[in-house]
Amino acid sequence: MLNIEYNETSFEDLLKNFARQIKGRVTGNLIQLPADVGEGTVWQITLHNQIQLLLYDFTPKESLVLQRKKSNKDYYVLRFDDVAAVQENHESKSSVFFTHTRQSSFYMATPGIHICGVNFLFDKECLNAFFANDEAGANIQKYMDLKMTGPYNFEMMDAEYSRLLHELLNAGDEKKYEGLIVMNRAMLLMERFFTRFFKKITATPLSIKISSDEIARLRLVEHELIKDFTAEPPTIPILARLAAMSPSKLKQTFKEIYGLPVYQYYQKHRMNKAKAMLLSKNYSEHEVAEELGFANRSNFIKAFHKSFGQTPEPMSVAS
Amino acid sequence: MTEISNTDDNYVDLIHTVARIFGTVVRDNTVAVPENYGTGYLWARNLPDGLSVMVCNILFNEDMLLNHIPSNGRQYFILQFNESLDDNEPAKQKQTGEHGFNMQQNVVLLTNSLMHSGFFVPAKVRTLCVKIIFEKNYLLNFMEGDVLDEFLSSYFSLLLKNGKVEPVDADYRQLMTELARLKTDHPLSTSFIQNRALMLIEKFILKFMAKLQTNTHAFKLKDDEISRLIKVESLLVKDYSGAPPTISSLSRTAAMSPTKLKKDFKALYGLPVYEYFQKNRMMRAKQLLLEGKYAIKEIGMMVGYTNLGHFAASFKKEFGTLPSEMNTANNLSQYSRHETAEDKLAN
Repeated sequence: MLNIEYNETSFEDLLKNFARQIKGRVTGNLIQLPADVGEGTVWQITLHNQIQLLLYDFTPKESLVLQRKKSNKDYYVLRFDDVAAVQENHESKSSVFFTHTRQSSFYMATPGIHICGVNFLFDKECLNAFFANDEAGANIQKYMDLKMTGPYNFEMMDAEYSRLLHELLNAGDEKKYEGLIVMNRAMLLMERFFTRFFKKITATPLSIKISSDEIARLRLVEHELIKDFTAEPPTIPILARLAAMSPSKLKQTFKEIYGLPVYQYYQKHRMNKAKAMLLSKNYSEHEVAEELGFANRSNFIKAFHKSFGQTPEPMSVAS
Repeated sequence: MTEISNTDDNYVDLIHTVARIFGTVVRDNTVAVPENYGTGYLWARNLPDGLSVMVCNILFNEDMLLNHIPSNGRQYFILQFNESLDDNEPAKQKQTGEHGFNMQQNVVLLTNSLMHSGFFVPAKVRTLCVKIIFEKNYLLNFMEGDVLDEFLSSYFSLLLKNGKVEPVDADYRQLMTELARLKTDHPLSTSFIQNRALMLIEKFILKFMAKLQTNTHAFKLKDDEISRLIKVESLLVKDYSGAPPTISSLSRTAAMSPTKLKKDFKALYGLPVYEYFQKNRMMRAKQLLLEGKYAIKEIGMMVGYTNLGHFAASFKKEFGTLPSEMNTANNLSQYSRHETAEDKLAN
C-alpha cells in the first residue's frame, strides 16, 4: 500500500509532492506514474480565473491512499471521480463531492481499478468572483459552510457529469483548443454542481427560523464538539451555554443545520477520524482507540463495526 | 417594412432602443413584442468581460430590418445564430447594402463591429435568434493568439469570398434551445448564459477549423446549393414521429442527384444524412427526458420508436447510458415555477 499525505493549496506544489512520494517526475504539468505504482497520468491546469484543476486518469498497481491533512488555509475542493465498477452490476464509487481544506479527507484507490477525475481547488475570492453576478450566489455562500455535510455536498456521478468530465479529460486531443475546451467543461461542471446544490438547500427550507447570529454560535458549538476526541464530549448544558440558547433550542437548531442530532454528529466524526488514522498506518489500533477516547478495545471495535460494517483490523494491516 | 437602425454596442442598450421604437418598455431585461408588431420576445444580458447576449423568438406582422451601423467605439465580434421555425419558403432576399449580411436563413455568422450587418426578419416567419458580442481579448484568456488569428483570418477571407459558410446544425440548435428556455429564476443565470455563449463560440471555431482542415469540399459549395441543403436539413429534423424523408424525396427538394446530395450534405453537416437524422433525434429525446415532463415511453414514441427496447438501445448507443439512467429525478424542473418567456409566448 502506498500512503500519500498532503495539505498543499497549490496543485503545482501538490504535483511535486506526489512525484516525490511515488518517485516519479513532473514533466511540464504532468506526472506519468512509474510502472510499479500504476499506469496512467496526473496533471494540473490553472484557469485564467485562478481556479486550479488537478486531473487524473490511471489504474493503480497497489492500493493508493490519498490523505488531505487539515490546512489552515481556506480553500474549497470540488471533486468528480469516475471509478470503474469492480464487477458488472457492482455499484461503482463514482461520485461528486464538495469539501474544504480545513477538513481532512482521504481517498483510497483500489489496485487494478481504473479511476479518472478532476479536483477543483479555489479560495473564497475565486468563488466570490464565480458567484458575483448572480443573486443566488450570496445565498449559496451563506449556507455553504453549514451544508458541507449529509446529502448536500454529495452527488451521484450521472450521465451528464460523466460526459462533461470525460470531455474535460480528453481536451488534450484538440491540442490547439485545449484551453478553450477545458475552460468550458470546467465551468459547466461547476455551474451544474452549484445549481443543484442551490436547489437542494432551497428545496429543504429550514423548518424553524434561525438567525445568522445563531448560525454563527452553532458553528462555535460544532467546533467545540469535535475539537478533541480524547476526552468526553462536552455536555449539552455546556454547549447550550456556549450557544446562549436553551438546551432544547440548541438540540433542535443543531439538527436542522448539521443534519444530525448533536451526539450522532459527534460520533460520526469521531469514527471517520478513526478510519483516517488507521488508513494512514501511522497508528496502531490501540493508539487510535486511545486517541479517540475509547476506554477499551472492544467498545472501539463495536463502535467501528456499527459505523462501517467491518472491524478495524483489515484497515490497519499493510497490504 | 419597418427598419430599425442602431449603433448600440451591447444588447441591453439595443433592446431598449427596440422597446422605444415599439412604444413599450423593458421588463426583466425582456421586451415583449406588442401585438400591433407581432408576437414574441427579445431578451438581453450584459455579462462580465465584455460579453453580451441576446435571444429573440419573434414573429413580425411585416418585414423587419434591424440595421447595425458601425460606430467608432470599442471593437468586438458578433456571432449570431439564426433559425426560422416555419417551413415557409424563405422570403425574397433583401439587399442590405455592401458588406451587409442577411440573416433570414438557418445560418451562423461571425462579423466584427466594423462591418455593417443587417438582421432581416421576413413577415409571418417565426425566427429564433441568438446573438453574442465578445471581445478578442476575452478569448485570449484561454486561446493562443496565433491559433485565434489563424481562425479569424481563414474565416473572414472565406466569408468575403463565399457568403454563407456555416449552417445551424443539431449541436448549435441544442444550445440555442437551452438559452431560449432559460427560466427567469435560474439561480445561476449569469453562469448559465455565459457558459452556453462560450460553448457556442467553441463549437463554431472547432467546426469551422475541422472543415477547413479535413474537408475543403464544404467551402466549394455555392451559396445557392447551401441554401438548398439547409432546406433539406430542416425537412429532415422537422418531425421525428414518422419515418424520415427518403433520399429521393430529399434530392428532389434539393434539386440535386442523390449522390451529390449525400456527398454535399456530409461535407456541410459533417455526418451522412441518416446518421445526422439519428443523432438529432436522440438529442431531442435527451432534451425531452431532461425536461422531466414525459415518461420514457412517451418520449420513445415522440421520436418515432414503437419498440421501447429499440429506443433504449439507440439511446445507449448515442450517449452511453440508458434513458432510465439519466438523472431526471434531480433535474431542474423546479425552476418551472416561474414562467419563461417561452411559456408566455405559448399562452
